[in-house]
Amino acid sequence: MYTKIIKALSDLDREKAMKEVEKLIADGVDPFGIIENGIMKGMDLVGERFEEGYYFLPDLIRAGHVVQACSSIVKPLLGNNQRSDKGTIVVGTVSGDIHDLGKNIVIRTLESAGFRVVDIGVDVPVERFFEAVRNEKALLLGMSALLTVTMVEMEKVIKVLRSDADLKNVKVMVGGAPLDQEYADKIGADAYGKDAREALTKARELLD
Amino acid sequence: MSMTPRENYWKVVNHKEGEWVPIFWGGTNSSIVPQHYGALCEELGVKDYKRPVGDFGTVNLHASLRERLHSDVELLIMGAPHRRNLEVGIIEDGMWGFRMKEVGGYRVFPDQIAPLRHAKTIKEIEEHPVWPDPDDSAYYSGAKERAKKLYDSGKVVLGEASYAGAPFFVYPWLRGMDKWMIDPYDDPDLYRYLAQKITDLSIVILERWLDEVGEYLDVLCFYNDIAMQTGPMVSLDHYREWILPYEKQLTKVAKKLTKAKLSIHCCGSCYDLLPGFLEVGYEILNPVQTRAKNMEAWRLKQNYGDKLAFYGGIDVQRLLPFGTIDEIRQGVKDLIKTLGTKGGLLFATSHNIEPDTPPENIIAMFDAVHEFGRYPINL
Repeated sequence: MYTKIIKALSDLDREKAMKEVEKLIADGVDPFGIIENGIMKGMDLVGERFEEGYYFLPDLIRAGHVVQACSSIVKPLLGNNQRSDKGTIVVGTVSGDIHDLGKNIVIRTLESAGFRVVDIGVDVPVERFFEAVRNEKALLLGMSALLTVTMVEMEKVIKVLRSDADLKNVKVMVGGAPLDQEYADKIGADAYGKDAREALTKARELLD
Repeated sequence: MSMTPRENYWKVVNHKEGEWVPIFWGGTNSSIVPQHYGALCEELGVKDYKRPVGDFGTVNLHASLRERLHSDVELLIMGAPHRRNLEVGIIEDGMWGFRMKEVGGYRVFPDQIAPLRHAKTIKEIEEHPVWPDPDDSAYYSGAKERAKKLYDSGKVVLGEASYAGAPFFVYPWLRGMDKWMIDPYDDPDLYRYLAQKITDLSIVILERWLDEVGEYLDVLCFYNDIAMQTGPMVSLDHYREWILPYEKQLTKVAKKLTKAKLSIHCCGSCYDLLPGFLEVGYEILNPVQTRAKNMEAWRLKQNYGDKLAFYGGIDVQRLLPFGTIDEIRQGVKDLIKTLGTKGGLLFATSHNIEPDTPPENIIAMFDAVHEFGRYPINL
């Protein structure tokens, strides 16, 4: 049932993918099924092709656009059943860092999997991370950095969260080119995602 | 030494053994980052150094510093119109109107404030207020006299046409990196229009600059930076379709106006793009980031050693900042042996020297090249 949407999406064919989504909806297929078994599976294939060196960064960005187009058709049908019980994730790039390519790919991926994601942008100071997590009642905070000189900001944010009685249990996931698991452990993050796929897997583990 | 640095360079760049391995310290991307320049000057007792200038590496290295570190090159960099402060912390380039910020001592070009980020039509692109004016004397003023003076020094004259030699720096800085990557998919007409406009304007300015200085240059540097630590940002097919045709227009003009060898600066793992670089007409690869994937010195020499000269190579990510003096000396020896045998190595660091590098490591590295880089190589 989902073969065609998976193929269209993984071939980065936006028009075809949108048509397939519309067809599935017309056939009465459960919108959550379309997201999880169609769109996400297609995105998984894109991720595999990227890892195999068959797809490159422009293809990932393109895939994000295709996913967004498909999701926009499905989302209104989710109505109040939108799985907000899956939790809200706040995502931002740390202070001094303006890179958002990777962050945006991660956000699209998490959204497509049904999470509510609040994007607080780039160059985000410690206090804004804190406020956003509090105000949005987030269960998970994702932080991104592309520079070795800015990734140290992550530790500051984690310290502030951990020292707050209400927010100390909020999970923290970090990512970005200069990071690795060792660094994530060192600063007390709950998870490290090396790419969008891993970020999704870890988010599911942390919040399920 | 009986050869001048220039004579020696021409042997080596043509894949022959000269008298020594040329030391290329002083280009815009194989120099030292401005925030660390003072520390190196102090270490070497150079007191009268000026405030460092450069978007990436320091371009105004003190002559006595270059002399002490055995550099064979003199940098001739194209002039540029004045920049201006748009608002606190944001600088607008005077040539193309792209916008820069300082972050952690580095200059960055945020996608979010790229001036053409939201342009949807060719008309909106045309309305961009800052396009280069080829009649602006800032590009050419005094260039010929300076070029001749540098040429007469007998050193290797490294010509950098800055942002008239880097259409694929300019495109993402005007549009944002993500837009640059997605435009060919989403709006190929707009992509071609903007890429061609940047190329056309670059060509006119490059032509006029080379009319003045072309005869004095030994190397002419172009830049694209389309690779990461783990691989190219784009496939070779994508490169051939969306980038190569524009770069080739520039190199075609350059070839007519200078005998200089053409160098391409592409950081990271660009190994898979090298066939494309050769098709464009590039003859020198810079900065040869040997720590990146597939960029090991042996692999480059084995497969491209007869087609490309290598300008760079010593790892600035681990070896130079964190290695011991012995490890650095060994690293230099290995590089000379692998890339320098039968010519082809223009020794430099694999990018600008970073702030966490002890000055004594830098000195040890250059002294080691000076000591071991003698032809015939016997290491």
